[in-house]
Amino acid sequence: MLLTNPGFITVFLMVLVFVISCIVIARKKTTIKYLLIALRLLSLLTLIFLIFEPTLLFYENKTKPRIAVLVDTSRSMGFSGRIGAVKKFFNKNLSLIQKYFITDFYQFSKNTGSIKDIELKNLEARGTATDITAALDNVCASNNYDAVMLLSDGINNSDKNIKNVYSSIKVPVIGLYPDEPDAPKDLVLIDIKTAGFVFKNVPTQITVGFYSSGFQGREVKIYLKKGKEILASKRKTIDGSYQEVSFDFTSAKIGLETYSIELEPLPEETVLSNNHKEFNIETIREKIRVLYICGQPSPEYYYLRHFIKSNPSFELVSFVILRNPEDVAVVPDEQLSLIPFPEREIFTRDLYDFDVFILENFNSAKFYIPSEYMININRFVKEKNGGFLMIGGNSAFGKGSYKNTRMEEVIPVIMDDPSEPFEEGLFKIKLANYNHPIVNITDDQPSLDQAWSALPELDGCQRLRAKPGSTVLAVNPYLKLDGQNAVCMAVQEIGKGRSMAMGINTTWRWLLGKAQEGKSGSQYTKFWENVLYWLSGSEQTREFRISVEQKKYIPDEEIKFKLIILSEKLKKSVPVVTLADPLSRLTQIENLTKVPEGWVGRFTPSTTGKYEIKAQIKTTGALKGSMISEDKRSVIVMADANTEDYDLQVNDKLMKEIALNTKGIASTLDDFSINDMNQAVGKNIHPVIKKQLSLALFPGFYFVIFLLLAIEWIIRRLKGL
Amino acid sequence: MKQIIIIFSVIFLVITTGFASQSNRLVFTQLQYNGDWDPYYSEYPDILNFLTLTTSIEVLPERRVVKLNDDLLFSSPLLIMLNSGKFSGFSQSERDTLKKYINGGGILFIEDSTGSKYSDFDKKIRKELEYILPDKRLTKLPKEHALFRAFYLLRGLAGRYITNNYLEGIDLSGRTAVIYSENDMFGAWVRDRFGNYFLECVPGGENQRFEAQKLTINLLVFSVTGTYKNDFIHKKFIEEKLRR
Repeated sequence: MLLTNPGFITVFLMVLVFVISCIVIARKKTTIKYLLIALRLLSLLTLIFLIFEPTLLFYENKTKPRIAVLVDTSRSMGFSGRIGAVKKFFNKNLSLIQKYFITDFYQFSKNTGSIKDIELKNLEARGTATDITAALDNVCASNNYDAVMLLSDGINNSDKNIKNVYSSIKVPVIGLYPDEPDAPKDLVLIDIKTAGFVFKNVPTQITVGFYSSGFQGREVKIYLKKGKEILASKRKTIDGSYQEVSFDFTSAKIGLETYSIELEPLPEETVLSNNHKEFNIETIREKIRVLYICGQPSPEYYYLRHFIKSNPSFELVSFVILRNPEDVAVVPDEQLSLIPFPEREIFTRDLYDFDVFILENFNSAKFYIPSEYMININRFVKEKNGGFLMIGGNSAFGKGSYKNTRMEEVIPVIMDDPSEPFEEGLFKIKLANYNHPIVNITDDQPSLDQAWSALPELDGCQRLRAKPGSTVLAVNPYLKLDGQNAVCMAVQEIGKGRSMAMGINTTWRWLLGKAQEGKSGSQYTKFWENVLYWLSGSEQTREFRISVEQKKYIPDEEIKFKLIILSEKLKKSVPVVTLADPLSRLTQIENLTKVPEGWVGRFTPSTTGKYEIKAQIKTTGALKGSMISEDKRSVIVMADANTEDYDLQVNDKLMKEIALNTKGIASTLDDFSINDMNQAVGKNIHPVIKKQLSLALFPGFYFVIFLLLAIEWIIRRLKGL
Repeated sequence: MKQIIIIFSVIFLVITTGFASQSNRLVFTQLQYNGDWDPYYSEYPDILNFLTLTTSIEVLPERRVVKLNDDLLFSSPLLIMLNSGKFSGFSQSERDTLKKYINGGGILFIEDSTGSKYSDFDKKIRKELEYILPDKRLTKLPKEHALFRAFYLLRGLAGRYITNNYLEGIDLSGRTAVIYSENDMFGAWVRDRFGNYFLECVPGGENQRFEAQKLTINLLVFSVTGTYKNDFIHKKFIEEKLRR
């Protein structure tokens, strides 16, 4: 260890050189050699003396103890005239205190700062937090004080435990606090108990806990809000200090949303800012609920129903019309397994419980579907975030009497005329859009185009045309309508929901046809998974997703997010991440870090509000251009809340505890006694360093070294040594 | 009733003759193989007429006959295999194809039309199924199986014979992919040229015939609806009806 110390090595080398030089001189036969050795020894000792950086201390000549006066100026000192009581205290006692003590004044809240005594009368309680721990730690660290006078309400919301600093406080603390036997009249919203996430359309409870002080027997109204909209309200008669109320809550929208609880202010309340609290709930889906109504049994129904039914991500309710009104009944109804089609219940009530509604080959005129039901389907999509899919056939689209109805708006194609035939015959579908998540049916093949080209032929196609505003995904290249290819698949986002039109009804051929090649039906299942996920607005359609730790964020706190990439193909590309701040200003997030599961990025929000992270990965390889996969994630940044506004009662217990642990005293401001304080501080006055002088920096010592060595050199020159 | 059905059948045939494409329709696909594969070559129009008159299902009016090396096999979700005696088994390539078909989503219905328990065909086809699906064995279909309630609520089982009071089947990935009958269900449909039923149903006579016909319709409906009738929403209604 000594060998690694550069100071020791320097001294050792110097002593070594000195000893060698002394030996050399000692061999000379002259009497002057002892003088030379003495001169060298002197210069060496001076140098070693300087290496140890000696400091000269000048102590203050004190006649009375010096104390630090810490005045709490946090927001809680503004309640019930506490800061006024402090000013009144100084008005009355300052001259008396300064008669016995030398005083240094500090104000503190979150931070500690020095003030002059004349500023005491202008103090204002505006600090956002009270950090008594840090304030005591700061003033005691200098060891300059004989005591600390702490004027505070004791509402300490420091991150550090005050018990950890008692050992470093070597002087008594005189604690003075406002005299308030009763807490201020107030309602304080303390706690909102809810799961971090809830399932869509599954009822859950939000429990609100609040403290009441001074309002016994009064009725308070509690609101659950989203923005300014009141979602629910409750009344509670206060019968104790801690109160709880619960709200039944059902979220209908997927994603992260900010809600708030608000206690309606009562007259004479001390603080209103603690009546309101925001919280986040992320709504996820337990399962995607699919309603599938089919006009007649068919292979498409058989395979699609089986796929949905056997996939644990989906929950299916399906109805297929087994018998039309014109069909012959050869047995009594009780020998048939038929049940009445509950159209009224479905179209007026149950529809809104589903995420996706599939309507296949169902003739609205034949089953007398009134306009009211169609309006509800329109609302399901546009207002209730629903996904709607119409699958073709002889009783679908225009042929199913949906033209010029209220459903036309949510069907993303221009429908066929009822007189136009359903075009039969085999054809290979042609992809028209390579970027939409629905068409991304393969990971393995180098080209999406190749994957689609390799799908078996379909049989039959509706005469559908592209509708302005919708996105055409695939066409029938052999069927021209008004000079354009007939649309086989089209999608649109409309209102809050999504819809899709499929002018084909033999996708089961992709499953059975692939089996002929000895291949699995993975592309059939991937396609239908994509369709249902996309229609339901589920993020699982994406091959990668943004993951943010679910917690409350505050301004200036770093937010870390992860891009979890599920596809090996996407892992090869670097994502582009943009951030939209609450004012919709876009910035690109650089410096993404690669991790095994994807990428990690960071940003630090400066203001409160909703930030949206959007990540895109562009991959090339498809014959028809590049493919972009993307995901979005919202993060809510909320104002920092602390106990300053939530715990209003003077904490005299803490003030007494501090005094007890530092051999000081604690009392109310009104009960302050200078004699008690004198007794607590005692007569032993701490020596106080007035000035420090570093001798190593004093140039005279270096001159002495130079002079000694110069004399030694001159003597040697004169003596011819 | 018979007359009404015949009249409607004629009308249906006239109307549907123009259709040629399968599209999304049910196709009566029968397997042609080395053996007595076609005991009842003329009964399918009667079955399809009955199906279309009583249900909403659209069918291709023609019978599709396929061999195991035929591409059309994989355009046929339901494959019907009948046998009335001789059966020399499948070649390895045929077994491979049948395996692809069954695993890929197809439904294979096999019927021993001889009405004999432990017939030569019965032994051979069981062996063949073991070759094709070595990990699976035919098991009795439970009475609650969707096949028995796909359209008609069947309380018992019937064919032209009642060799077994059960059907057997093999489930794959949550669906019944193979169904095996030894009761000669299709034989109950055979008529002579005057329109009268030709083969006697024993021991139950005409009631048994009608039950066999209802089971046939249920088979075809099942092939396009799957386990639909076992959905929770139907359960209460069906159980109530069955209790009456």
